[in-house]
Amino acid sequence: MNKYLNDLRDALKKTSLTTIEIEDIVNDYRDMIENALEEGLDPKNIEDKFGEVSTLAAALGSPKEKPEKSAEDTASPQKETEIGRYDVDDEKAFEMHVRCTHETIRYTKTDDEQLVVTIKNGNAADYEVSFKENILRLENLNTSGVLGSFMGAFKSGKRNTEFLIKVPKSINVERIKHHSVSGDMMVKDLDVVLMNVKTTSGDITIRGDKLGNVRINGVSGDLDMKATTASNVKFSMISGNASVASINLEETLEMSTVSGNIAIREVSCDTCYVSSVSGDVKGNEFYPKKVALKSVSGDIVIKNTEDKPIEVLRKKSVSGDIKIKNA
Amino acid sequence: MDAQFKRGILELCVMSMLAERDHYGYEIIRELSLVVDVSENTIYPILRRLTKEGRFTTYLKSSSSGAPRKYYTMTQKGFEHYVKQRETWDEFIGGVYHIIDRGGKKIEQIFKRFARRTEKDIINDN
Repeated sequence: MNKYLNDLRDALKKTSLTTIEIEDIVNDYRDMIENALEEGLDPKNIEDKFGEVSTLAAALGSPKEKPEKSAEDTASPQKETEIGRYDVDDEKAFEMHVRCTHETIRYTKTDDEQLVVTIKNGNAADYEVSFKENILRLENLNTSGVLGSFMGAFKSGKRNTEFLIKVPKSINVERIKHHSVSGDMMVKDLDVVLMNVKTTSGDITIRGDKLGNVRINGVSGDLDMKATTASNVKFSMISGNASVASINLEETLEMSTVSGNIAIREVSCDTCYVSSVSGDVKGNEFYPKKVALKSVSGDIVIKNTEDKPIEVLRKKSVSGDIKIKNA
Repeated sequence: MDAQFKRGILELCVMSMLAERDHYGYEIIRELSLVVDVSENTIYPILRRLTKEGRFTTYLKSSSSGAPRKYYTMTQKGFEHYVKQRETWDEFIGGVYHIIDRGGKKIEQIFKRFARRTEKDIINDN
């Protein structure tokens, strides 16, 4: 052990480190090595476990990173600031394209005749908001592509920025294209023909009346969806939980999860595809005409009170239970 | 693996362990070396740098059998940093998964695809 420590000290002396720092490091290593020996490390393997002294010295003596700027100013709660107001052409398809990182985005309805965008707890200069050809675009300027958002998440200091996008009542939304990392997304009282949502850890809440095709890709965020009618809904999650309620679907409902659970309540559709690895899928008052169920170890259980026929197209499970019960 | 990339991942691992609870130096090295190859020891420099940057603090605790243990604790600043790093990671790995899933979501499915593809190739070859 002493040889290793002496070698280490010699190697460290060749770097920019001060004597005090060097002794501090050597002391840390003495303690760690002793802890390791007590826990049964073979003295012969010290270098193996703790590394070559030269690489270690290079790593420790290398120019240090600039210390981060002082702790983020915890800004006092700000009020909503309007950052955009636009005339929407109701003769043409109206779309909204949003690409953000951590921001909460709320889409909602307004009595106003114009489309209004507001920001809360954030710096408008970090974003680009534009309205062209009847398409509203909102983008975090630090974001472009995966790598961009990689950096964006690093740079963005404020955590609770919120955008409110208010759509005039008379306007139908042709499409919402929403990409986010950790920010939550909320859609309230909007009729949307096409909805594409992609998020990593943000939660998604959708409350609508008439929805068309909805496609959601999530990783660890949760999904909570309630609507009156929809055409097609397709979502895939890794570990996030999903709840789908009160929807009459004209066509298909496609759901896939790895470890997240799925709850379905008061939903009817034509065909339903369910695929789960270890997540449980529970259906109550769930009436698909046709259903294909697949699970590795998760349970899939459907419990209904009305005796409507459900045609089972496929049913496959490794160790999970698959049950359809009619009272 | 690219050294920079590996360092980033190790840093995230170290922070994750400390977000869970306080750990002493060798404990971190030992646990991490079970899952990743850390023989080129990059752990201690990470601990030292993050401590210097105020993300961790340390305290000594004597152990029953000899050398004291230097425990590392995550500070509020550390937690803030961790959340950011974690977000970056989640975004990255999430994007990667969206693509990887295209190869097949489960091994079973990949095998099936493989069988089907190679079958086709044989037919084409004939």
